[in-house]
Amino acid sequence: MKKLLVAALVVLAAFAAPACAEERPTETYGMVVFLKGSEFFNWAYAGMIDAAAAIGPHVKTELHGPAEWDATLEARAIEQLVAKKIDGVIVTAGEANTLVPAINRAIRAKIPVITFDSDAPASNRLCFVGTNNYQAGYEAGKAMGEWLGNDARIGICTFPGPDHLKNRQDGFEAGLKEVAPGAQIVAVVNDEGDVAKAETQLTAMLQANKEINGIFGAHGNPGPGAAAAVRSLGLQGKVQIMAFDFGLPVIELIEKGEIKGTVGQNPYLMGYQAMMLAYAAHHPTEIPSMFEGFGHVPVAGIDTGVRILDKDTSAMYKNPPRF
Amino acid sequence: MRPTDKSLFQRLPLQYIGLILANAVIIVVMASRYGEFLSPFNIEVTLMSFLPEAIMSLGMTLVIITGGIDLSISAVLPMAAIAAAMGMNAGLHWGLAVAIALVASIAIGLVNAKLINLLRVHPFIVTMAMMLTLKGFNLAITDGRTLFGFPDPFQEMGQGYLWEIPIPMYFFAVLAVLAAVFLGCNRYVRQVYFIGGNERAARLSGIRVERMRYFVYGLCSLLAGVAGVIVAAQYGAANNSFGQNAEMKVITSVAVGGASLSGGSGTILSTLLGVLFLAVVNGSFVMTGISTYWQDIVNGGMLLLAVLVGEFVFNRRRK
Repeated sequence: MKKLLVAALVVLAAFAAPACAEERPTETYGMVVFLKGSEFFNWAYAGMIDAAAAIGPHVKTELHGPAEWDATLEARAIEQLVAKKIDGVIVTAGEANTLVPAINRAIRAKIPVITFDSDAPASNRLCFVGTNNYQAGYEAGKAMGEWLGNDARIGICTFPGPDHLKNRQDGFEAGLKEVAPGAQIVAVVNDEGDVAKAETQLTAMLQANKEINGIFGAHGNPGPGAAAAVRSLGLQGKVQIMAFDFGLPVIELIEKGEIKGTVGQNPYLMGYQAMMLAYAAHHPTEIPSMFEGFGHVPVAGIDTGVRILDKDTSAMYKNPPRF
Repeated sequence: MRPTDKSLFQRLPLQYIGLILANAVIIVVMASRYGEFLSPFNIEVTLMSFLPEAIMSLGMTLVIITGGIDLSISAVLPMAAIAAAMGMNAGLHWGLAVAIALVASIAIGLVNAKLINLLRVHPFIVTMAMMLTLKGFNLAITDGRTLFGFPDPFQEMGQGYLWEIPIPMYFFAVLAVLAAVFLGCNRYVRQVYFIGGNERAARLSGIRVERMRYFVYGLCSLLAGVAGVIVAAQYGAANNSFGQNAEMKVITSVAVGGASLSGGSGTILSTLLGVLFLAVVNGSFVMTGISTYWQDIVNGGMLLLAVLVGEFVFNRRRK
């Protein structure tokens, strides 16, 4: 009987000891996005969840923000998280300037804020994790140059305004010229950010410029619009399309062979890295930090890189995570 | 005046009690489980998060009492923000820029009223057309770009504090008291109940319905403009994407407050209880971390409940 009791105590102690040692207070980190529910940000949130799990079971995550593209609603969400005394915020800025007061308020409250995908550089956010858009365009340009060589005659579909689109376009031009110095950019059309508008603009462009044999869509929407324009003019196979991002319509058109490739960003890695940085910033160590009261974060933003996806490499993006 | 007054007085007490109870239950449950819920900072953030909607709901209450609706407010809000921003960026004194933005807002409301009077179509169609046109206009004049870099006194108006209370709260308080007093006591403004209850009877008894519409829609649009200017000051930026779907939140607040969308009933106080409900629900979702997808289900459910209770009481008393 005594032996049994001792054995039971030993077993109990064995279970209890590590439980005591790992008893850490729960920490909660919030991701704030616009267009909540979109595939891209769901990938990012999946990365955040995995990073939190890697740190430990005491780290919880929450997804906040509006389903609309309205940065004032994101600002409200950040302020609500500050009021809730959350342990860290990672946010993608639907509009860079609008979020400045809310982000600065969080930082003043000693809550680390990391931006991902879309930065708010004028704010006091600690670090940015996202795509270097010039480099992304450069990779796309290089691939296009390799496909078409010096005969490349390119039309670009984009819209004026956002800096990241301008950077992609500049990078594309540089990458293209690097590989194929004889290549030319023949036309740049304005799709106003809209897939239907992209189709009409590109149809007109292809009719006016018969020599065009390649189209680069600088953001997520023109890809399917370009495929529709090429299809309706019966130019399949004669005009190659480079899309941007891996929305389901783009992946399907790649599988059908109507789009040759797309620039794949790394939203999963953005969420993962941003979570890790927020955690590090919330737990200062002896390693010196630029920001008083916060742990060390890198001084430069983190480029999560791109890869040109084609028929063979795009399949895994067909099942985006849902939340 | 009898039928409208009857419906008004008979349906309101239950709506008031129901709404106050609903708000109280959520607040008590949340406060008992989350210590931060009633912290001064969280109260401030919760109230401030629906301040633009609260300001717009004052004007919308009047419009809905007349049996009308104004969908264009969600486009007037960014329009006013952009107009004020453009004025300031062009070097105008911020006070003048704000005045221009507000006058432009009133003008939109007057055009709405003029078109409703002229075309004799439902305000839903006219103001929806106005919303679409104005949203396109907002995009066209800014190219989707954000305007920022406003003078400090202007930003202070949205971001500053007076006796530890955010300055926009004072604007709202003054506007709300004015609206409540005028709608409660002023004979001219109270004509809106008559128009909403029975427009034909109102017309026959000598109420100038068309002229009243200019007042009501002009005021509604002006308040959307005020909200737009405050948002621009609050965030130090103006963008065409501001205020998206705000009209739906505002109309929901008014209806949850118990105003009948067919006109003739509603008060400022019940509307504000409706806004408070939306704000408290939103704050609760963020506090608990439950997916905010469920928030619309709660708001929609509350809206249905408010309509059902309203109609039930109304019908039973009428028998």
